[in-house]
Amino acid sequence: MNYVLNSPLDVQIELTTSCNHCCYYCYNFWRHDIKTKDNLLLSTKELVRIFDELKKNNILSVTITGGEPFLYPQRVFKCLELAKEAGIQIGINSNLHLLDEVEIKLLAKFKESSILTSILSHRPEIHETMVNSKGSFNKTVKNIQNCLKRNIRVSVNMVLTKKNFHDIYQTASFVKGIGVNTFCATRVVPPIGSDNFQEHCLSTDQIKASLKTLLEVEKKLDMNVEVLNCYPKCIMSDADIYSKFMNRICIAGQTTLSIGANGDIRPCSHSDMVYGNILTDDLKNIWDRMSEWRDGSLLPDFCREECSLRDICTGGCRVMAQYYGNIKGTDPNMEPCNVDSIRCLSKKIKNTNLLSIKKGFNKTQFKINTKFAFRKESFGGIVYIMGTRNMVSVNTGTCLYLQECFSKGYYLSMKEFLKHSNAKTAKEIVNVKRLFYKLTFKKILVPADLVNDL
Amino acid sequence: MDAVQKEVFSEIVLFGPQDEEEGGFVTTADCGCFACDGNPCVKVID
Repeated sequence: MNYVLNSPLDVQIELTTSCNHCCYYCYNFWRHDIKTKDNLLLSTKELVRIFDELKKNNILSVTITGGEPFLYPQRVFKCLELAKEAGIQIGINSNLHLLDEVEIKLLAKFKESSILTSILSHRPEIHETMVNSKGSFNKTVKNIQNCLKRNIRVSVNMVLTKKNFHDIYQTASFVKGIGVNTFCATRVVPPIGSDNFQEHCLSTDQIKASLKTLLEVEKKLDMNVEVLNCYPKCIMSDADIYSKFMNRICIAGQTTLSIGANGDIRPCSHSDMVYGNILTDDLKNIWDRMSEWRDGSLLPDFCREECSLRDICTGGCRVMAQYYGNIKGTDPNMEPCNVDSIRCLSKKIKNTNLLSIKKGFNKTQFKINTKFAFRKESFGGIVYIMGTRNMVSVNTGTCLYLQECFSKGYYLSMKEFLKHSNAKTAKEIVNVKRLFYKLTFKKILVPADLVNDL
Repeated sequence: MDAVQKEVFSEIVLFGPQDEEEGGFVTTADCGCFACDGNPCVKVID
């Protein structure tokens, strides 16, 4: 069963359609559409309106993207200020080519912000061919280092095509060498409107190999690794891959949406489907119009009706399917023949992917984080820390108890939490303990002696 | 209100099966996706 949220948790804002690079794999659909080639830029007034809407709808986090946002640095800083005022966490997707020292210094003042950038290969010539910009490799690398020096969090993504597929491990190693700790390697999604892009896309075997290489990177280089696109679950027929990457689903229209540089709202940055405009309509109305992204009606018949993984899989990427001819068609990397063995794998893995609670944890006294916030939902609510992406979705009983503890400044321990939880059976007790641990892990609950240091 | 007060505290799994016996793993909005930001969901036993 999937719950429907009252509004998204995360929103992408495409500040501008302009870019200083011309990546051949760019997912911006307008790059390939002559009619929409006009360079658009959100004005300050429009940004104020957008952030008002985001605040009104309790959006937790925003990603500023484009185009290249730092073509308009003052507009980026305006977004950072507006997000800070609204208590919204903010990240920026940038090629980091254009930043200068002064701007990096300014960026560093926004401590909760983070940057996602791209390094396509450890080989400069491959990177520069892919982004179509000579000299860009050294500039990006230098600015990654300059950001890290100022304690700005930087993650690197490598969009995978047939051109750079063999460079994953060495690129990760290079990136680690310059101080980055989070590395993503993500299959390319064909840009809507481009021609004959299939020849650049990875085969299913190459995707599986890329996931194995990421696991190697995690183990040998001690890096956080991820993929930024959802893959069909039926390709994950290997236990290691399954346990690491199984949780990523398509969140387009489920927990996220994209706002274009003209205010148009789409389910994700890859999609060209418009459901309304935030400059003229309420975000909530537009969100409600996106129900086809949540109710399964865009899934292929096999995924919706026959697949035994249907309750845990969103059928891969719908934009991939759209490019290949039908948004309700299959993701080209699907492997339906694996679904039954994967279902068995999920049961086998569930008992091994567990962590232990630290010694002494049970006796620690906690308080609710001073930046605690709550968003009401049909199932209960989302509890979260303002200005961060730390959130836990909980039922109404838990929400009410946490709100009470927050408003009255109560101390609470695991024992106290259990006492109020109404848990009686062994299974209920384990689940409540797990929830308590997660609340501490997400810093909703913090040790009482540290609460004033936040 | 009484019903709410007697409700056993629990995390809500936004997507996928609620019952772990069925699904075998937790899938939530912040789980496994980049939004986790190096802060992934966990399963815990003691």
